[in-house]
Amino acid sequence: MTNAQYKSGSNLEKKLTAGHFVVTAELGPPKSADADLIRKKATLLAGNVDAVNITDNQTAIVRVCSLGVAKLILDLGLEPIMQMTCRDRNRLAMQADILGAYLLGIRNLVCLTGDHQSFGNHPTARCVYDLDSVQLIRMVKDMRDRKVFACGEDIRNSKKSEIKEPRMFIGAAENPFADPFEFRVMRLQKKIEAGVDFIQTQCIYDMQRFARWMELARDRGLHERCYILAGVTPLKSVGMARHMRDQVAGVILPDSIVKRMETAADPKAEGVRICVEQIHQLREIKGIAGVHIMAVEWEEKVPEIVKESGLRAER
Amino acid sequence: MQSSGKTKDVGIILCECPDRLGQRLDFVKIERELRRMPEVADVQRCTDLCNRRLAELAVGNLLQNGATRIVVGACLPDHIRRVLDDVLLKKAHVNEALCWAVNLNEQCARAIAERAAATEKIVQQLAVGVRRVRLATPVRRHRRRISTDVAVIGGTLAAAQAAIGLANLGHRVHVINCDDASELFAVSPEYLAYLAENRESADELARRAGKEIAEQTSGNRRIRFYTVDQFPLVTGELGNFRVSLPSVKPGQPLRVGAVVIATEAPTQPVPVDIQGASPGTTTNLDGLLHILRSKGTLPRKIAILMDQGIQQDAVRSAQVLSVADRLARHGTRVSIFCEHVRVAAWGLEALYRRVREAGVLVLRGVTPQTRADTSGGPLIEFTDPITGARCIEQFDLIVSADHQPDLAAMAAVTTRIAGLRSGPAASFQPNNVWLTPVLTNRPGIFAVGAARARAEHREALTDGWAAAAEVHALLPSPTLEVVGDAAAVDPEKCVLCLTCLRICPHGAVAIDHDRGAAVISEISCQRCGTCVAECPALAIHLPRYTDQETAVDIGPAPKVVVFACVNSAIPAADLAAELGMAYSPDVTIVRVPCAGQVDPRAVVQALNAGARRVLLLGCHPESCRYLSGATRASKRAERLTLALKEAGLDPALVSFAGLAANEAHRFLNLIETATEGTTT
Amino acid sequence: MIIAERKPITEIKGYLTGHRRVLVLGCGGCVTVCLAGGAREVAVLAGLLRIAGEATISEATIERQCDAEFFESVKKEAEACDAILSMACGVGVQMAAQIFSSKPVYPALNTKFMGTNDGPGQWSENCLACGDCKLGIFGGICPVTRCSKSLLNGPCGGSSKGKCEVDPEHIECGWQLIYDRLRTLGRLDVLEKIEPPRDWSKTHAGGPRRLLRTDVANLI
Repeated sequence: MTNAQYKSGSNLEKKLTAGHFVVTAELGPPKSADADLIRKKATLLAGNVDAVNITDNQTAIVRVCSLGVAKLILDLGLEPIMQMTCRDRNRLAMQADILGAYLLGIRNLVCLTGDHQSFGNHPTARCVYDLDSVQLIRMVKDMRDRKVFACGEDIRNSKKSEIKEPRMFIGAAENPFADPFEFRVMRLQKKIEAGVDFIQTQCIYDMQRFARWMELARDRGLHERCYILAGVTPLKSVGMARHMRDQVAGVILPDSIVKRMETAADPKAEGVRICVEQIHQLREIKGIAGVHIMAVEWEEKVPEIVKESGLRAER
Repeated sequence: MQSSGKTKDVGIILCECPDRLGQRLDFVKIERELRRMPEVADVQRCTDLCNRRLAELAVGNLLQNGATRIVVGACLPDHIRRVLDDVLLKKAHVNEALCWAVNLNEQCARAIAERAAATEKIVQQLAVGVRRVRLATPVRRHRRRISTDVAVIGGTLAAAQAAIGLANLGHRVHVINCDDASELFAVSPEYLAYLAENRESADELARRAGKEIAEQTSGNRRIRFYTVDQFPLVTGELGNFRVSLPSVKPGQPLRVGAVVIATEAPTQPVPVDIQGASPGTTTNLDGLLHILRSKGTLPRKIAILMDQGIQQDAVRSAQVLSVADRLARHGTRVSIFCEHVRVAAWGLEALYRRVREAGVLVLRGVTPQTRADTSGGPLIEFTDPITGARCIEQFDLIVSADHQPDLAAMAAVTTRIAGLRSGPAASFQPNNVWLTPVLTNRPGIFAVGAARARAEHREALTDGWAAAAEVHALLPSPTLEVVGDAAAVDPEKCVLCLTCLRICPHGAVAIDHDRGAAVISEISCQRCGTCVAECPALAIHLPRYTDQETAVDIGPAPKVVVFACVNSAIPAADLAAELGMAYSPDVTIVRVPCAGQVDPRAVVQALNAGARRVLLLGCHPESCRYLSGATRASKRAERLTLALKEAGLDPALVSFAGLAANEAHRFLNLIETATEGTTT
Repeated sequence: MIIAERKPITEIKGYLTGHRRVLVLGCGGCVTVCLAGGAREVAVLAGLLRIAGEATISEATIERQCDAEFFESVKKEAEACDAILSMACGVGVQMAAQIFSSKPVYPALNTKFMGTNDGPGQWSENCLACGDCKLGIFGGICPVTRCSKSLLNGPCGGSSKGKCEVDPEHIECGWQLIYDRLRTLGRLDVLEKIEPPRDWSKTHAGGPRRLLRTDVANLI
């Protein structure tokens, strides 16, 4: 396929289109103007993954913006996946940032609703939510394929100029563990209708429920209309396991896994082991196009996980 | 209406009962001070108001001297109420609202040790009485035609007994069965093994009870039967309820004077869920009863589980033990797993012993864990309480005896009777001592037997009799006297916020859509005054407790104001005085019908007038005479305390305390705490 | 209905420092019904302020403070005061300030939201006056107000057991409610459609709004 036949021409798109089982990971930007930390994390991930998500003020805590970090790691030779939430920007700022990101060489964009500001360090701020994630996906797609802004105007300087549209490979998140369960597959379909190219799921611990969700998705042929990447998160400690089971809405963590962490001699190693096992199990499920490793503030484990799950051999 | 400005129309009678009051008070001074008041037409001192002739003389003199409103100062006015009622009200035709009684004895003469101080206090109290009586408006009484018919809703034994009792007392009874029609007045002998020493006698007793009920109800001219499939809609008020039976009498609701709720317990069985167990290996008590009656072969080994999630009561124990007894006699091996075996009722202990002797295993304090074996047979795993060993036992049938409140069934009733408050745990009777035995929060509506969680056979029958007696006491004749002193809504001021409708503990408020205002039933209103204190538009008033009258009670220069409820604090105060406990004359006691009547504005008014403490005294909240008044008073006091704190003032200025009518010492302690540090 | 709540008295006292004569003015409308600023509340607050401060406090309650005509009956008293404490909602306070333009007018309440009365003493928000009501689409449940993020294609990933991640104890997920309602109505097909971005210019974001009925206004 030539570049022109790809939607965005990003490496991620090329690999998925070619049928590779891709591995993506997450990089959490620092809370200060710290380029060294970014470089350090990028170094850990380089060569181990196909593309890297850069979170956008995750959990409403102010960090270096996704656009900035994406450009930094692009310059270091990695393939960035920029993230954009609906919480902090209105449609004007979003479209401007998309144009800017494209010019800087960024080609992958994940569209998210975004955690409510009450979770973060600026709870008194006003949230925006001018658009929701579905509307954002459609807007990015329209910019790419219909080459128009949200207001309907063509993306060109003037009537006589050439149209120069930003062409992003569009991603989104989906959570098979949130409620209402029956509606989650419907929501995925809605995002696909809106124009999503790939999705990354919330971290999976309950294999049964996830398998059921995939079944429902396959019934609707959704796995053939977009690339589904399964999310995993290695557990760092017993405390983390319990916290995720009890406090984090939208994560289902079975007691059996908490028990394994509690009874393990080396919880950290056990957490990695569980993650690797999960990746093996996920590869068996039909319709999974890749895996998304969210090693929150534990990026150094990614190389080991990739290696132990046999994904390294395919890099 | 109220007295106009300059008229001298108040007459005062003072009883100088020599052994009680004469020594303690200076009556010469009292008379002199009172005669100075411009409103006072005459003062009569009487040596003994209990003497009817003397009372008549005194009243006659007052009336002759131009008095039309009377203040009576005596000891415990209730004491001599009979005489005064006859003389003042019946003979002299003075309107009851234009009379005011002041307790000279308990709250003054005895409460204040020093004669001069007591005398001064009496003068103040009587002056308050004079001003109050001038503000009063005459109250009318009238008789309203009512129905003495009674609706008994439900098909239980309690319903039958209530119907029989009422019929015997001359009432026409409409029994409306909305429970299972085939089980009307059914007696289940299987659950009644405790009625006698041995099973045969118990069965006989149960059978006889059933027979008697059937004989007394069928063919009884005064009892009519209706069968409907859901609890009927009940509207109206005591004496004039309307019970709708659209499937039986469309468009013609039954008109009755009282309603007795006698339905089955609003509970549902808690199933035992065993994964992988074959069908038919688990059931509940109903199912077990069915098996017992089906005359087929009984399972060889049965486990009965009780108290698994929710603690069950003595009725459940009785049912389980009775059934176990019967099963054991038929050769079935029975094991009962429970938290407790409740035997606190005559006959249950004996039954328990019989049951144990028959070989039934009763495992108390054991947590059974159920599961199924590979062939679908149910198993119970438990720790033996004696040896501590882990046991696994197989059974043919596992029975869950537990029941839990069925919220839908409760709602099916409470939504059909507006304003009906249910109690805790599957009962239509709130948990309040004033409602015993069979009252609900709504006047004229009663709850008996299983409907108030008293499903035990003998209790149910007693409840039935009790309801009949209560109804008859309430509705002895085709007319009911209505006193015109209920709380009333001013439709001009009412903003239809629905507050009064929602908070009235007696369900006495309805909406008059034509007038666009709330309207209070004169018959159901209990005159507690809660609605008056809650109405945000100040649209409700209660005769004898209006803002003006309360202002008079508080007085121009109060020091310590105690709003005292007549059901708790006033009798406690009287008892304290009788026991010789004295307290400071600085205390101004304001009688209120309920602590819930005390308006926060009145409290603030008292503070503005200089009071250094305001104490709200009511019943202990869980035993409030009017159910929620004391709780409301306590919450209002909390809110005021917080506001005082925010305003930079002493939060201890206002407080609420609950006490009972006989807690004289507590009353005194509360008064002493309130007056310490504030004495002049 | 508009729901408001009395401000902390510390704050109210702060406003009144230095004023010698204050009129506490109540409103017989919404704030009476939500137990915040009616005649009773006026009496209690005025009483407390009298004890707590040095100012002379007078009190009155008019039918409503969102219509100018009702202020007639208190004009004289207001003129005699050097400050007015309005117990109306924000609308009434501003009207009072407009009418008594030479006097400082202070709010005694915090106006919170428009909502329903769920029972005595309980209110919850359910309308944000967005100016473009879409309740007909979403089964009578407002996604703008009942969803913490005002999503039109919700729910988000934080919906769990019917509760909103922002406050799982108290806030229900608006989208779970919409889903359940549409399922009862047999209209889940509505949720398959993508709802386009909202025109926020119809809300306050487009500036303070006005409404003019030409068949009623300025005809005389």
